[in-house]
Amino acid sequence: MALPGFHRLSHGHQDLILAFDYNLYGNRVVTASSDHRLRVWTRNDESGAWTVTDTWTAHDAEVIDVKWNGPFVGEHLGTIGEDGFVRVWQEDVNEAIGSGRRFKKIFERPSDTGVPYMSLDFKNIGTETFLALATRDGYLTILEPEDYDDLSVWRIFWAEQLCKTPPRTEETAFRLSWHKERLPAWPAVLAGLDRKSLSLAVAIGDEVRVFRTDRERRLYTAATLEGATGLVRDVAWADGSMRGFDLIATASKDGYIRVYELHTPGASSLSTSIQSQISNGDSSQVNGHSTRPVRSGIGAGLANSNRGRRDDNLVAAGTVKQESKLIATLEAHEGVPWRVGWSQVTDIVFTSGDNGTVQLWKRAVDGKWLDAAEIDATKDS
Amino acid sequence: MSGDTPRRFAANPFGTKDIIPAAPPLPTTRPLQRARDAATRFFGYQSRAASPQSSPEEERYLNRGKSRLASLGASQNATASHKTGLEINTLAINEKGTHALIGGKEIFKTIRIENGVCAEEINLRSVIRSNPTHASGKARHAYTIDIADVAWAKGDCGDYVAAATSSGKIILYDLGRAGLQAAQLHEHFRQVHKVTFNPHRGNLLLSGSQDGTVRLWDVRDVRSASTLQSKRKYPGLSDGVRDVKWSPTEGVDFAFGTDSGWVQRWDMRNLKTAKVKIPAHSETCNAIDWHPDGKHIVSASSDKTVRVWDFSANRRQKASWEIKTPYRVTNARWRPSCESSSSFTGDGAGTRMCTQLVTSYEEDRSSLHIWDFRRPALPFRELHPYMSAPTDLLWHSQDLLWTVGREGVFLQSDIQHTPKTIDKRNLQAFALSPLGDISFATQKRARNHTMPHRHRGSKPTLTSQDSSRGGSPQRDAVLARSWEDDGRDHSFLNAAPSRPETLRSPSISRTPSLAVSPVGEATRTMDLDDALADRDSLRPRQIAVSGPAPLHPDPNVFPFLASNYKLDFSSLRDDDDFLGSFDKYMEHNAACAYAAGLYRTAQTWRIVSGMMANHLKKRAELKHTRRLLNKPAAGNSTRKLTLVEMSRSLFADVMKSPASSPVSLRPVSTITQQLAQSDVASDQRTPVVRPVNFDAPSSRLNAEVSLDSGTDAILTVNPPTDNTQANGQDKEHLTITNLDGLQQLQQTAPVVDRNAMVRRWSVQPKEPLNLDPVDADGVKIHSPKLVRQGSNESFAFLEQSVNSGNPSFPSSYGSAPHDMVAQRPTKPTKKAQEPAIDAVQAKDFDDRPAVSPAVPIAQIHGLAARPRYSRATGEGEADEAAEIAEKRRSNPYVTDTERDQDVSQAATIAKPPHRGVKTNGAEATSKSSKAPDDPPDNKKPPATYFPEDSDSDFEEHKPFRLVDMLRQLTTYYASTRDAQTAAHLLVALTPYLPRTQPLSHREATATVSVYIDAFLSNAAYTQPEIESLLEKNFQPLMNAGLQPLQLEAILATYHEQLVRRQMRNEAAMLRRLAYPMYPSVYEDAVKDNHVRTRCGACRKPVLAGLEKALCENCGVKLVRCTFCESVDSPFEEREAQPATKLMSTCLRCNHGGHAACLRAWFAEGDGGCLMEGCLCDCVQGQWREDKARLRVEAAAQAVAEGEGLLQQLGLRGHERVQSDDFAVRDSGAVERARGLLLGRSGEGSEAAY
Repeated sequence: MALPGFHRLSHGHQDLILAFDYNLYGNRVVTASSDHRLRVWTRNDESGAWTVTDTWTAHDAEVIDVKWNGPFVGEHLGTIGEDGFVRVWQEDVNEAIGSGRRFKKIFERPSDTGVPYMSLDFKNIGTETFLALATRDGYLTILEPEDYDDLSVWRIFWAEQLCKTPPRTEETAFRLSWHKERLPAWPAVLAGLDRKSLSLAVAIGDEVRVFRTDRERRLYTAATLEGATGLVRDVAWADGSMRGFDLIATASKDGYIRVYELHTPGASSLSTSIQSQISNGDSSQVNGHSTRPVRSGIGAGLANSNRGRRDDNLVAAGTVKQESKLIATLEAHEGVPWRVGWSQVTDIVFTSGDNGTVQLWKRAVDGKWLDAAEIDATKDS
Repeated sequence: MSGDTPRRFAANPFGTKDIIPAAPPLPTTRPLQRARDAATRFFGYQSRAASPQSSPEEERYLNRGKSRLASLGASQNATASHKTGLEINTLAINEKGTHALIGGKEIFKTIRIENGVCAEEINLRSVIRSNPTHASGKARHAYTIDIADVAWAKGDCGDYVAAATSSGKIILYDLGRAGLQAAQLHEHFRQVHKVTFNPHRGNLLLSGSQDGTVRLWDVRDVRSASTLQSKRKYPGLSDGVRDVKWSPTEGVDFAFGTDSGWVQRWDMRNLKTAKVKIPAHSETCNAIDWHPDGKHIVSASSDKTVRVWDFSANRRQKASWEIKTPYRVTNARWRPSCESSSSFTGDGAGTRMCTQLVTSYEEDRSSLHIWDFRRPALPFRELHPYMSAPTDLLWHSQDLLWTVGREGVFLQSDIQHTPKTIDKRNLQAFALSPLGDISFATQKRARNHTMPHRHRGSKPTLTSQDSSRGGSPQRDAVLARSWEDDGRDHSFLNAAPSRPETLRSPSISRTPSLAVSPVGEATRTMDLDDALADRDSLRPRQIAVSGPAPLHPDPNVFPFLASNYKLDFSSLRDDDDFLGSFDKYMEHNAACAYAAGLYRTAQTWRIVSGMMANHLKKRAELKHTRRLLNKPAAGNSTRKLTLVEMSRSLFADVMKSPASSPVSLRPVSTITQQLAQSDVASDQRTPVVRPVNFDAPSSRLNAEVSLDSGTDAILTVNPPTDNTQANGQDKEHLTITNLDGLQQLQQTAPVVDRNAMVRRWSVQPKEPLNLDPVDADGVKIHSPKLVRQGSNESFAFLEQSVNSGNPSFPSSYGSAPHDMVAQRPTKPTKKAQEPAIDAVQAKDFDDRPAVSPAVPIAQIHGLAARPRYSRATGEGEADEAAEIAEKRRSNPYVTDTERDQDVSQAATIAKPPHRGVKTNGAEATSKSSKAPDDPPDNKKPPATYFPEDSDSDFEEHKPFRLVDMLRQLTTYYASTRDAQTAAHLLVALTPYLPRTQPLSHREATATVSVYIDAFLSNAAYTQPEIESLLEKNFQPLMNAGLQPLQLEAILATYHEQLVRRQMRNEAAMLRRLAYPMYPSVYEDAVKDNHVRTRCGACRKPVLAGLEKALCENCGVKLVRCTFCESVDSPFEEREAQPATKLMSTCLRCNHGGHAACLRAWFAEGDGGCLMEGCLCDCVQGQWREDKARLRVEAAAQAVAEGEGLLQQLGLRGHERVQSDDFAVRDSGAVERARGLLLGRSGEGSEAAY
C-alpha cells in the first residue's frame, strides 16, 4: 500500500456505514450505508490511492449488507436492504465513472416472508455462483442463476424456514457464511462427503448450524455449533480446507467470541460404501435433470422441489456428519462483540464490537487463542 | 377522526372551547397543582408529585410542558392492549385522552384506558342494535355500517362522535344519550375517507370524500334539526380526498391530500380557491399531518416518500424535508412536540421541538417506524404491533402510541420501550482485503449500565434490557421518562454542543379572528426548519478507517516468493550432476525465503534439502551396488498399492455392460497405458512434478521389464479418435527392441501431453485463434519468439516462462541435454499414427505450443535445450541442414533464431516443428529404428536418484522417514495457511520420495473412489484413462505415503491465492502441474474458454465467429483476412482440414489474417504489417531493422541537434532533456524571454535554464 499505517477514510456517506466488502483481488471495496447508498472504491494500482468509482442509491432504505461476487463473469454486487429486497448490480463499464449509473440493477427479489433480509453471501466455484440469503425471521433462501454467465435470472436452489418464526420485536441475527473454497476439508471428502459439496454456516439463535449438500445437492445438517448463551450475531468460516478441518468463529451477544473446529470423525472409516457412491454417482449422471445448466457439473436443478423436504435423519449419498469442537471462548469488546472475520492468509480472527475497537486474536504456539492486537480508532475523536 | 392534532394538554380542563389547545392560558398561580388536579381527575392517580422519580427538574417540566404523560412511571412500560377479535378500521381519541373510540365493519365501541389497563366502556354497536329506533323515533332497518373513520368532537360537543362510512354517509352519535344516532349527514355520494373536528372549535366537522369534496358541518345544528346540512363545500381537484386535517394553530385553516398526490391548504371562509396548492407526490397522498408549528405539513404517499412542505406561502417549492421510506406509506403522524434539552437550545429548556413522526405502511408491511428528521435515513425506532400493518394510529401523548389493526387489537405502545433500530445495527463494520488491508467503520456504543456484570466463565443471563437495549445510552434507564426529546441520545444523534436556536420563526402568520389568545413563548413548538437547522452537527460519529492489518505478513512477500521460488525441478537430470543441481535449486528457494525475511522457512528449505540429498545419495549408492551385483531389486512390492486393481473393482459396478459402452470400447492409447495394465511395477512417473527425463539407467531398467507376448500383441497404438488420417503405418507392432526408446519418450509424458491426450476423447473445443505464425505445413511456429535471446520485445511478457526466463541457472540449463520441452513424449496426436517416432520429432512435437488455454504459450521452451539425440541422428543432419536452409528462406519467423544458433544446433532445431507426423510420416518411421540404440549416456555409470516402486525401504531403521518429515511440515504450513511454502515443498520433494510408505488400504480405497468419482463425473475421462492416471500419477504418490486429497487442497489453496493476487503466470504454471490429477486446481481454466475475435469498430466480441463476417452489435462488415479478404486463404492447402485453418494476428498492431496469407506476405515482404498504412514491424525483417536504424539515427540526430543548440546557447555540460518529435513548441513569450536572457550575460541565461 502506498499509504502506510491507518488513516481516516472520508467515506462521504451521510449516515452509518453498515458493511464493507473487498472484491476477490482486494483492489475494490464497496461500502453500504444507512443512507441508502452504495459506494464503490477502486484502488489505483500505481499510487495505491482509493478513488470513488460510483455512488448510487441502492435501496429505499438502509442497505444492510453488501457482497462482491467473484469477478469471473463480470463485476457484480449483491445488496440487501431494509426495504426487503435483495438486488444484484452489474457494472456497466460504458457508463462514466461517478455517474451514479455505472452499476445497473439486473435482479431484485423481495424476501419470501415479507421480512427484510438479514444477511447474504455469495459462493463461487469458478463461474458457478450461489447466493445465500437469510431473512430476519429465519428464512433461508439459496439462489442460483439459471445461467451462470447471466446473473439476472435466478432460481431457488434451496429454501427453508430455519426455526420457529421469532417474534418481530426480538433482535435476531440470522447471519450466514459460506465455506468459500472449492473443496471441503479433505478428510471429510475421504469419509464420503461429496467432493463438490457446498457448505454453509448459519447462525440460528444461540447456535450455528453447518449445512452441507449431499450428492444430490440437497442440504443436510452436518454439524451444530453450540455453546453460546446468547444470540449469535455473526459467524465466519475460515478458508483453509487443506488444514484438514474447518474453523468457524462466532460472535455472540453473550459477549464472547467462540472458535470452533469441525472435524470429521474417523476420517478413514467410510460412512457410505464405495459401491453405493459409485453407483449413485452414475445414476445421478443418468438421471440428470434436464433443466440444469449445461455446465453446472453435478448440477442443481432441484429448483423449488426442495423446499422444506430436508430430513436430517436420512443418510443420503455423499453426506457425512461432523463433530464440532469448541476450542476457544474469548471475551471481547467489553462484552458486546458484533462482527467476526478471518484474516485471509493466516489464522487470525478479527472482531469488532461496541467498544469501538477491532481486536485481533491469534493462536499461540501452545494452541491457545490470545488477544494479539487491538485497533482503536475512536480514541482521538 | 384519527386525523386530529395530538393532544398535548391533558391538563386542559374540559370544555374550554375558546382556548387553542397549543396554548391554554397558563394560570400563573399554582400551575403545578392544577396539572396534578387535572391528572388526578382524568387518570385517577396521584400524579408525578407522588412519583418517586419526580425531581425538581421534572416538576419544572411538568410545570411548563402540558404533556399528556400522566400514567407513566419512569421505568414502567405503559404498553397495554385490548383484544376485540374483530377487524378494526379506525381509531379516535377523546379530547381528554382517556378514551379511545374504535370502529370497523362489525365493531364500534369506546375503550377506557387507565393506568395501563384497557376496558371496554360503551359498545355502541350493541346499544344501537338494541335500540332499533332513531333518536328521532323513526324505525330503523337492520343496522350494518362499515365504518371507515371515526372522530370525536371536542369542547362542549365532546359527547358527539362522527363515523364515516364507505357508503358516503356520515353518522353522528351522541354518547351522552347512550350512543344513539343523532343525525345522518348524507351529502357525499362516495366513500368518506376522513372526518375530523376542529381542535379549537370542537363542533366544526370536516369530511373528506372520494367524491372530491370536503364538506364542513357544524354538529351544534343537530340540536335544532335531525338532518344536518353541510355548511360549506370545498371542491378538491376532482380527485378523491384522502385525508383532511385542521391546522393546529390557525383555527380556520385546514388542509387535505388527494388521490393524485396534491396537498391543498384552505381557509374555511374562502370557498373559491385554496390558499396553497402543492403537487406533493406522484402517487396517492394517503395522509397529511400538520406540524405543531402550524407552518409545515407532512404528506405521506404511496410513492414511498414522506415529505414536509412549507405551507405558509403559496409558491412553487420543493419539499422542505423528505424521508424515503422502504414501503408505501399509508399513514404518518407527527409525534407530539416535547421539550428540548437545554444543552441543545442554549437559551432555555422550555423550547418545544417536534422532529419525529411515525409512519405505517401498506397492509403486508407490519412495521411502524418512528423517524427523526434530524437523521432521515435511518428510522429511530421500529415497532411491530401486529402481523399486518396497523389500520389506524394516533399519538396519545409524547410516548404513547395508540394503534388498531386488522387483528382486532387495540394497542397502546410505550415507545420508550420499543427497540431502537440503531441498537440492532452493526456500527462496527469491517472488511479484510486479500492484500492484508483492513477497512472498518466504527463507533463506540456506550454500554448499558443496567447490564449485569459478567465474570469470565459465568453463564451470562439475558435480560430483556440486555436484549433490546444492550447498546442504549446509560441515561436510558434513568431518564426513560424524561420530558426531553428522547431522540437525542448518544447512539442515535450525537449532539455536539450547538449554537443557540432562534425560537420563533417570524414567518408564522396568524389570522387574528380565530387566534383567540396569544401563544406563550414557552409553549410554542419550535419551527421545524429551525429545529433541523443544525442537522449537520448531529451526524453520526462513526469513523471509517483503512490501513494494513496488524500481524499480517508483508503483502509483498507472497508475490516475491511466488515469482522467485523454483516450483518445477523437472529439468533436473538424473545424472551425476543431479545432487548438485538439486541442492542448487533448494538453496535457491532457501535464499529466496531468506531474502524475504522468512528465516525459519529458509532454514526449513536447507534442512529439507540436506535430508533429501542425503537420502538420495544413499539410495543411489544402494542401487548402484545392487546393480553391480546384478541383484534384482528386492522390493517388498506386496505392500505397495496397485491402484489399477483397486480401480478395476470399483469400475466393475459402473460399467455394467462394458461391451456396449462406447467408453470402454475405446482402445488403450498410449504405450505407457498399455504397460500400466500389464505391469504395474514398471517405472512410474511422479504425480506432481512433470515427469522428468529418463536416461540410461532407467531406460535399462525398463528394458529389463519382461513383457509377455500377449502384452506385445496389444501394444499397437491405435489412436482412438482421428481416423481420417489412418494409414497402414499405424499397425506397426512394438517390440522389445523399440520399446526401450519409446519408453524413454513415453515416460516423460509431460502434462501437456496428457492434456492433449485427454482432449482427444473429450469434446473437442474450437481451435483457439492462435497467435503463432504457421509454417508451410500448417504447423504453428512459435519457438523463435520465445527464445531466450529472442529479440522480440513484444514477447517480453512471456519471459516468465518456466525455465527460460529464469536467469538463475543459465549454465546448467544451457548444457542440459533435455529440458522440459524436449521431454515431451511421442504421443498419438491427431494425425500421428506411428507408434515409433524418432527423438527429433518428439522434440518437435513439443515445441509446438500447448493448446490448452490453461497453459500459456510462454511455457514453450526456448531452443537452447538441445536434445542430445541430435548428435546421434547424425545421418540425417545433412538433409536437415538443407531443409533448414530452405526453411530459412521461406519462413522469416525462423530466421532470427537461427541466426543466433550455431550451425549444428540449427540442424536440429531449425526444422519447423511439426504438429503431426503425417507429412513426415515416412521419414519418421525410417528414423525410428535409430532411436533405441543411440543414447550414449547408457554407457555412463548409473545414478538413479529417482525412486522406483521396486525400491526397498532402507529408511526402515532410521529415526524418522522423509515422508514423516514432509507430513509434519505440511501439517504445520497447512495450519498456518501458508499454502505457498507447503505447495513448493511438496512439489519439490514428492518426485524423490521413496515409495515405501503406502497409505493404508482403506484410505487408499477411499481416495481412489473419490477420484474415480471425480473423474467420471467430469465425463471427459474414460475408464482406461482414469486407470492410467491413477496408476501413473496417484500410485507413486500414495505409495510414498502422501494423501492426494490433501495435496490437492494445498495446491488449490495456493492457486486461489495466486489468482487473488492476479499472478496469472504463476497460477497457470501451477495449473499445468496439477493437470490432470487435481481437477479443483485447473477445472475453471479448462472449461468454457472461447477465443473470440473482437469487432474492430465497436470493440465487442463477435459471437457468431468469423463465418458470418458481420458484427452483430454494430453491423459493420468484418474483414476476415487483411490479405485475401476471403474465407479461405489462397495459400492454404486445399486438403487442410477446416479445423486447422489458422488465423494469426500481430500482437502489436492487432492486424492479422490467415496464417497462410500472412506467411506468404511476410515471406515476400520486409516484415512490415500488411495493413495499409500500418507502420508496425510485425515480424523480424528488413523493415524492423530499418525502423530501429531510423530510431537510432533520429536519436543521434536529436542529440546532435541538442548539442548544437546548447553550443549555440553557449551552454555545456547540461543534461539533455529527451523529447519526442511532437513536443509542443515554446510559446512566443518564452522565446522572447529566452531572447532577452540570451541578450544578457551567460550567467544569466544559465540561471534561467
